[in-house]
Amino acid sequence: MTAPGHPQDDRLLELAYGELQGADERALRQHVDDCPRCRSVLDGIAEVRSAVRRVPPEPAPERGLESLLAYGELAAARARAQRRNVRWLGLVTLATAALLVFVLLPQHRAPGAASEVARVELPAKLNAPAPPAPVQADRAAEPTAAAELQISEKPRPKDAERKAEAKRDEDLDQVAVAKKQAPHRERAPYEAASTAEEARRADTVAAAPAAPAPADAMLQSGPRQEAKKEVVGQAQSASSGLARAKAATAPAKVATATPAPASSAPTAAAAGGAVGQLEKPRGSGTEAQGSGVAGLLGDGAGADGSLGTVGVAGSGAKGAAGRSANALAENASGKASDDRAVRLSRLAEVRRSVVQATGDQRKALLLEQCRLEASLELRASAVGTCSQVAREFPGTPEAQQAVDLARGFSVQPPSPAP
Amino acid sequence: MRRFQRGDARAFPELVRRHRGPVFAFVLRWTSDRARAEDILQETWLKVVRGAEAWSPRARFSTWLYTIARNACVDGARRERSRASEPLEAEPAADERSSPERAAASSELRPVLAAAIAALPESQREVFLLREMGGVPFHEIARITGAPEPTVKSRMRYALEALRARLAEVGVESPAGGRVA
Repeated sequence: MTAPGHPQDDRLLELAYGELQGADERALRQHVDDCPRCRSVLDGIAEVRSAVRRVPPEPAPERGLESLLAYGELAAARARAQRRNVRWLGLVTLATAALLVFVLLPQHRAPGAASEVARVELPAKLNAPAPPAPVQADRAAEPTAAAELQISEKPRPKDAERKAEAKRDEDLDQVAVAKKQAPHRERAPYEAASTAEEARRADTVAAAPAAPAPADAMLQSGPRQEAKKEVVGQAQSASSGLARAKAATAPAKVATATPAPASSAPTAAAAGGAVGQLEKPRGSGTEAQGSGVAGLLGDGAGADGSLGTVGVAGSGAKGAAGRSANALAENASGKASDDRAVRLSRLAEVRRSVVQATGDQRKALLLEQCRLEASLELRASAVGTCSQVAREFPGTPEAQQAVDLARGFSVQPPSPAP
Repeated sequence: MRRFQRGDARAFPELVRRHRGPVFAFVLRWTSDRARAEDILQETWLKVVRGAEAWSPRARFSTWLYTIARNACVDGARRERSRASEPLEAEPAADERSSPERAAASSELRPVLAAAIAALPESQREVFLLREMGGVPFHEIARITGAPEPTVKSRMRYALEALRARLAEVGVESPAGGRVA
């Protein structure tokens, strides 16, 4: 298409859109001035651009702006809080590091200092001005060993604790053995315990007289939680000794310390309290719900800073499958499109009315708008309107309904990226 | 955007004020449907908020923003196609009998131009709108669309030629006063 001696049309395009600069631009402009063919190409581009510019852009709608700004403000507040947390975390890390240095430095210094002493004292003992290097090294090793001894002695009080834990562990082992010996029907509830109620029942069964005497004694004297933790330890198939020791010393940590499989998460939650809830797997259950906006808001390429296109296409795929199924169903019924038109028309009417409305009327209209937008799959608008209802009329049943509707789209408040 | 990432609450309204209008114009031209455009606009900005942490200063904010908007348009068009109950072009086709005088008025030109843009193949339309409405340079359009830069420029030239031909058909005057043709 480019005649010999003429610049490529792509260059003319760059010139028309101001993407050429400096010497390139000057050279091309000179050529265009003298070349009717290139001037004509450039004029053609200018004509279209001029026509586009003659049509003033339509102003962006006000609708949804308020809720969007509120959403942005919330996200900014979360970002601030997150930054503060990170700062605190940094400070705590620094403080911990400093503390560790303070604690460990004297211990490291001790061998060094002792070896210095050895080096100074050794010549005097041996009555030799310069002992051979290997001897010095051997002597230097001695104080290190001494220092290590000192170090190993320091935490002796903890040994007592460890012994106590070991004792408890032994007791718990006895409990476990007792349970293993107990009829199988009594173990079943522990393994299948998946709710707080079942865990409580398991606790009761553990304390039942069916267990042999030592276990009874232990369960009656010790806190019931310990027995419960032990049950949790079994349910989670953790290595028995460690799990029980942890359960005995720090019951609440069992849920977090052991990598609970998805199925056992509820058990952990029931026995370990709120910490267990954090263990809930995010993937399996939550992915299935609300394919629409979950994909819409959390997709990869669209929102992750990279400029690819695959992510969004992929993100929509899950939801698209459901949507296309819906669409097929709609087309099959024949009435659906009419219904949609009716709802669209009503939506337009409600949107017009809500601008003027106040008080209860506005509340009702906004809720209706929220419902209509949700039913029409105008997700972003629905989220915006529902948020508006919740914000303008907090604490009302309508606000609750709006929040529920928004949740139906799986729209979560902005959360920090993992 | 960096300020918003750091949690500056005043930064977001500023971003919205600066870019919401042009993005809406871009989306509206793409969809030719005001209701859908409003929805996609809102969806785009929600994604901006949610994805703010992932944004990296390596990409210009506007490029990132138009990437999101463009992807939302593509997804929206896909949804509409799968629904297939409403035509993509909501704007009426240009009146073939329009006189140049009438078409010259911007109120007349708007539907003509909208219909001409809507009639472009999607690959050309996105390039044209990103460059013309979004002001995104060609090399960045190439990154957004995943097409090589020469391909992007070819699409742009085809789009311009098609629009010029269409405007000439309905008698839109050239800026010099003469008719395009």
